[in-house]
Amino acid sequence: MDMDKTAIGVLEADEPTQMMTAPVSNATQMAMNVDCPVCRTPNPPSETYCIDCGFLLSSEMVTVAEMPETPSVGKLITTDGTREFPLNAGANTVGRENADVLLVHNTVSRKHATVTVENGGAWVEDGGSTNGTMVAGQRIAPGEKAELTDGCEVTFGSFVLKYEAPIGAEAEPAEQTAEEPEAQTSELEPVEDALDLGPAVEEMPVEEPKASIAGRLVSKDGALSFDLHDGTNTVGRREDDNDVVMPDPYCSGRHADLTFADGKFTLTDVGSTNGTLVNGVKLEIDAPREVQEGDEITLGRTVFRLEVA
Amino acid sequence: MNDDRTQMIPPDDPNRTRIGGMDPNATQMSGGAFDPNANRTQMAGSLQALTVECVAENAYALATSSTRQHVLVKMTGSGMAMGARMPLNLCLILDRSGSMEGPPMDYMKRACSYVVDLLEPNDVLSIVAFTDQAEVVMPARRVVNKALIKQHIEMLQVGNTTDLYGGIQLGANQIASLSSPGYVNRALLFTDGEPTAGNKDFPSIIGQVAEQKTRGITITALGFGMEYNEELLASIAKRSGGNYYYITRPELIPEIFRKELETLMNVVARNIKMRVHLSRWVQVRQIYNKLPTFGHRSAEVTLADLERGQTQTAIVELELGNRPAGKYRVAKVEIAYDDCVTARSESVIGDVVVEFTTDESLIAGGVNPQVQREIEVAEASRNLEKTVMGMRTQQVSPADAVRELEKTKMLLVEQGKTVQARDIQSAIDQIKQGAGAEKTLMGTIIDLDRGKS
Repeated sequence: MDMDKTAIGVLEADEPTQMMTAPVSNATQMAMNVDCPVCRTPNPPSETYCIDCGFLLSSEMVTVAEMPETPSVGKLITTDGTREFPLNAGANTVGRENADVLLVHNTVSRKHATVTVENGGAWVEDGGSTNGTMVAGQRIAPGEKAELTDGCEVTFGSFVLKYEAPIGAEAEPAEQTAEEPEAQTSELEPVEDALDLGPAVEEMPVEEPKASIAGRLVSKDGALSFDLHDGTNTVGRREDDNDVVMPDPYCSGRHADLTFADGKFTLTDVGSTNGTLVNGVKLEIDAPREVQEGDEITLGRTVFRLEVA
Repeated sequence: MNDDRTQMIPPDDPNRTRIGGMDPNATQMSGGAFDPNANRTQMAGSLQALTVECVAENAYALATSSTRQHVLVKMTGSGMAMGARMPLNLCLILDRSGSMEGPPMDYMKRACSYVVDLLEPNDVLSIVAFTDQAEVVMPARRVVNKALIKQHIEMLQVGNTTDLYGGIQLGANQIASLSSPGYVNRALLFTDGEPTAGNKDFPSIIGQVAEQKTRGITITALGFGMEYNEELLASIAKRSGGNYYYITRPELIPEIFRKELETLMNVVARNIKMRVHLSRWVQVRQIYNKLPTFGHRSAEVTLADLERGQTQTAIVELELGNRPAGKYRVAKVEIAYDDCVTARSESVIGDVVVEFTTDESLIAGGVNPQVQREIEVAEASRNLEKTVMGMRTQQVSPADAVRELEKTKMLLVEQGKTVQARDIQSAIDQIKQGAGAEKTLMGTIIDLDRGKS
């Protein structure tokens, strides 16, 4: 009844007749590993399907003349190496739901960004995400397309992925190849007068700096208080994609954005159902409006006062 | 008051494998039954309580380019009546706020006494009540002295406000205090109103529920009357994998408690986790209505407890890379769970096998209608959720809501979801009579998301 036995039981039951006639080259040496005819991965004899590519090992690979040569593709890889996203030619969507590069996290927007593979290169474009997209630590502006270079880091929300260019892609300029400093992995003191590679790329922090508190939304009855950070604070009822999660059923899932930039707060209704009011005046949808200390902000049926830090 | 302390018996009592929930003819299993292994040999063939079936949307995929496919994962609780049931570790978390005054309080007490009657000495029960604060009415103990437990229940009195958060926390702690792997853990949260005391905000409460789920504690949410927050209670049940009930009238409270208890006594698989292991060139695009976590070439979601004879489904959308033609396992689906029949952690595996071909006519003929039906139901559930939220915020007029609901009902009838179609019909009737139907429909959404049939 243990798990492995069950697994094998199920697998054997699946293809019982084919197991007998398997045209595997070393079928007589049952204890030997079986190389997958498709991907060459050695498989223990107990496996029915290739452990790497899933090919039914007892079947024959059909070679079709018109099969296109599988081109080597670029990939995005998580920094811990556990997940790989091969990139297809054309547009690859990045997001929290139904995406080619699926990153389930509340700092990633549903449609966060697009990576376009064309002419042997890859470009990333932010899709109006809440927390933005960065390439090598640089936030990309709306509408901007940033090219990905081999080994560069792309940040979507709090996810950091490394781009690996397809094999055979053109070598990148030297200044980019200097970007993988070995010293980064060790805790050792930096050696004095380390190799002078020009600008110290390795000092770039991978994690985005902790946002400082720029202000606070306090409900008039005092029951709710939300800290507001630098940049955009998303407001709404849905808990998985808002910085300010509203317990008010009259708030929309995504209700408004409250952005702190250049020392000012701006409030934008992002298409809420029941509207956003500033000092009793309803905001037009998608029209940002500056708000100040003490302003009364109504979201759904909850009235807040804005406090600026 | 003190003498009932002596009733507390350690959870390893050999009694615990008594057969048959409510069967008066129940006989005890032979001695030494507290050893789970000895136990298993007594049970006919020690069959696993859960079976899994995986079906791809199409038996074929195009070899020459990358394609998308849905996979239906269908889990079924063993229909075999094994006789034995898993003992319960149950906590009643009861609202005694001011609004419970009168018949609701009386019927709630009656329902609780009824629960005590249905339980057996090997079950563990605790009772927590909440008003301005939460307090333990009776700490977790074996259900031995039923008369004494009922006295505790009778002493409940109405208070003022509603500290739902505190109630959940205290109740979960009671379950955890006597937690043991051989038990079905469950809290029954009964409330008639919005949280008005303690930690009131939605995210904190849901966060607390999620945390308790990781401790293996499932919460069933029972909403009574018109004033409770159906979105909150439905979210609690959803996040927790427990059930959701809407109780319209006080005299129905005992009946609903009985129904839930019967459900619990039929739980055959709990702490269910679905892990999808992917072949190298396969990616997960989404798992419908679930929030997956990812590992190396794998995705995982937590599922609700499964009862005997019940099915539960999950739909996974995959992106398949192009492949040399041939038969491949695109994913291996592993369901890990606590088996209430074998009393052990078990896992079952299903393979998703697709043949890659360059023959497009094969692909056109390879569509699996069952998977397509389930996808339609999942979409219907999403639409239903939209309609309900629109009704809650008064953005959808009653006439529009009825129109939407009629459409959804038709679809569900076509897909054979008769129970849910009936729920929607009664919701339509309620709206036509000028009443709200959101509380009913929340339950329908939960059922549909779990693929209950």
